[in-house]
Amino acid sequence: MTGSVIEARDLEFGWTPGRPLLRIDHLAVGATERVFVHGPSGSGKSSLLSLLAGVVLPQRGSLRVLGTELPGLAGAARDAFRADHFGIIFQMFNLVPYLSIVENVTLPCRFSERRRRQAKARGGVEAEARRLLDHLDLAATAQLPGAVMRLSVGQQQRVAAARALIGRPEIVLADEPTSALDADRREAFLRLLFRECETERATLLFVSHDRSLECLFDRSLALDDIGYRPAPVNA
Amino acid sequence: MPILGLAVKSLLNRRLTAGLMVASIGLSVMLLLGVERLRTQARAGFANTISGTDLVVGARTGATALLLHAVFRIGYATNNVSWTSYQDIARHPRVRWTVPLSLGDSVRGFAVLGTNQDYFRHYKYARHHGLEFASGRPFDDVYDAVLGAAVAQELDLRVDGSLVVAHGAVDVDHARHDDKPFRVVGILKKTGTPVDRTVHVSLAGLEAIHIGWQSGMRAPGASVSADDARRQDLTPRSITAFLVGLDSRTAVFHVQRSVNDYRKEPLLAVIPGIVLQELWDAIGVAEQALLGVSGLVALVGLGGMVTALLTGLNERRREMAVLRSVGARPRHVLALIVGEAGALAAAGLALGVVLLYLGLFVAQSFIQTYIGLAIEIGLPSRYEWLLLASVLLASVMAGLWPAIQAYRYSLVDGMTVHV
Repeated sequence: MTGSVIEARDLEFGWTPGRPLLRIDHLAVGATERVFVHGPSGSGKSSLLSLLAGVVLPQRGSLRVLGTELPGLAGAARDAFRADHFGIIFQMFNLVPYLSIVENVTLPCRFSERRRRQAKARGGVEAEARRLLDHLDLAATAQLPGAVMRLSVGQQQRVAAARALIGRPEIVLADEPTSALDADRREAFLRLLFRECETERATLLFVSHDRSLECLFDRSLALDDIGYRPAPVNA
Repeated sequence: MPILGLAVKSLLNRRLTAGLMVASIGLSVMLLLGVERLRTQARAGFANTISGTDLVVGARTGATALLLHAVFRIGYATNNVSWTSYQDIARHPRVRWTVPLSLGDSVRGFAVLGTNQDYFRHYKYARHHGLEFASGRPFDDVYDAVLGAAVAQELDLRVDGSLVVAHGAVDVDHARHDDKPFRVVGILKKTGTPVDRTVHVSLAGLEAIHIGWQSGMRAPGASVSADDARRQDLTPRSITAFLVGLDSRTAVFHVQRSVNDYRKEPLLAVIPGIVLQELWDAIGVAEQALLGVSGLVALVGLGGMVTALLTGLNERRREMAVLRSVGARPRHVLALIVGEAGALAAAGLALGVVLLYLGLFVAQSFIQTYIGLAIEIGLPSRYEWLLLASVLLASVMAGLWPAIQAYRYSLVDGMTVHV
């Protein structure tokens, strides 16, 4: 499949050799696609994200991201690749407590020249951070000094979204970012995230065990469909 | 490095613990530098106490005991030198000058030194500095006294003031020469030597106040008025010690031998520089021990820092994961922690130096007055810079420990920490 942003083939990963936790025969995600990945806890969702972000390496198989064979890169190159091309949102505790809201958003620009350049092209790194925060309805909050730890969980997640999007990375990985939010806020957050991903033309890979959100996405993948987990011994 | 700015911000966010760490490092650095400075200044001060004197002569005793008593007013003389022997040696052809010293009495804790006017001419300290008068003049009359700077300051005495000499080193009521008070005629400038803590009177004055005294007691019915005493023969029968200046340094060993071989009386001549050196060699061990202890205190300060950094690490695994997710490499995480240790140590060093100078500034006059040690407030010496650099290096090395721990965490955790 040409034009794939992410393409995995015969991918196998596990913490202990010979006991794969995750096996993917084939996975392809196209540009600007919004993909929902679900599966029961322990099905390797977080491992999949770590693999895609190049933090861990597969034991076997091929993983191409933006045309680059990730496992072929050295550690430093994978770290740089991640900084350049990925925005990542965690389930919670996304923010660095000693940085201001704006500094938290601009954090990727400290590690990626490419994203710093792209943010600058839009009127400066800080201005771009403020613009994103404004889009995520956080403009007023961002003015408050040292307010990071006083933000609500929902606000923290939106700051994390702004950080994931700054400098226009091609791929946004979200690891159950809504699980700490109540139902109303969950959907509001998702709509904001979708809108921004669309504006920035970013591909979104969203991992969750909450299938009620599934209908909002272009495509849904059950980890059991694409992955494989050795059956429990007594099954 | 994008990470060092983060290190500083991270520390500022933990102001209280960071402040405590900086304070403990600062205090230990102040102690380290303070001990080093007092050590070198005490050594210099000690060596500077006497200069230009070729020999110190006294009754036969230990070389150190003689020097300590005659020059530093520490300890007691076991015996005296008879006046005739003193005059005998003073007539030696190689002897250019002598200054007699008679010790034993005190004024409210300050030593009284009986001498003559040659003292003001020939006594030199710190590389040939002579004694100078802040006010007044040398003694002339029997009951004239010249005060060292610290004596005048502490007893609040000025020229024309009067003082009473006590018999012996302890000032007690029944043993005061209060029938023959002295008049202050001169006050010396500060020297940073025991001279500052000395009351100088003439030998005749010391003789006069002791007329009618036997074995440290006023003999009953033998009291003589101050004016009657003037008319008696006030030549001393003995003195404690005397300083000798020779016509040439090459004669030192020759004259020293002839004094030590003097037949009429057992005498001892010592070369001040050599005895001072021996003295330092003897107390050098204690000095090194003191420096060693303060070095250990600095290590304890660094140990506290490492403990605090290690303790905080587990709570920061989430932060490390966030940093990793935005592209920080494991070595960035390492640099973050080492940077924090380095920044803490640098702040601690700066604080220590500031505290040292504040302390010296405040304590300077106190130390000068009560210990007689003149402290110069100069820039840090090369050795002190070396000490500072070692503490900084040691703290960066110590910071490596929690940093490597964080590095390991970030390798294992990657982006997924379940806390």
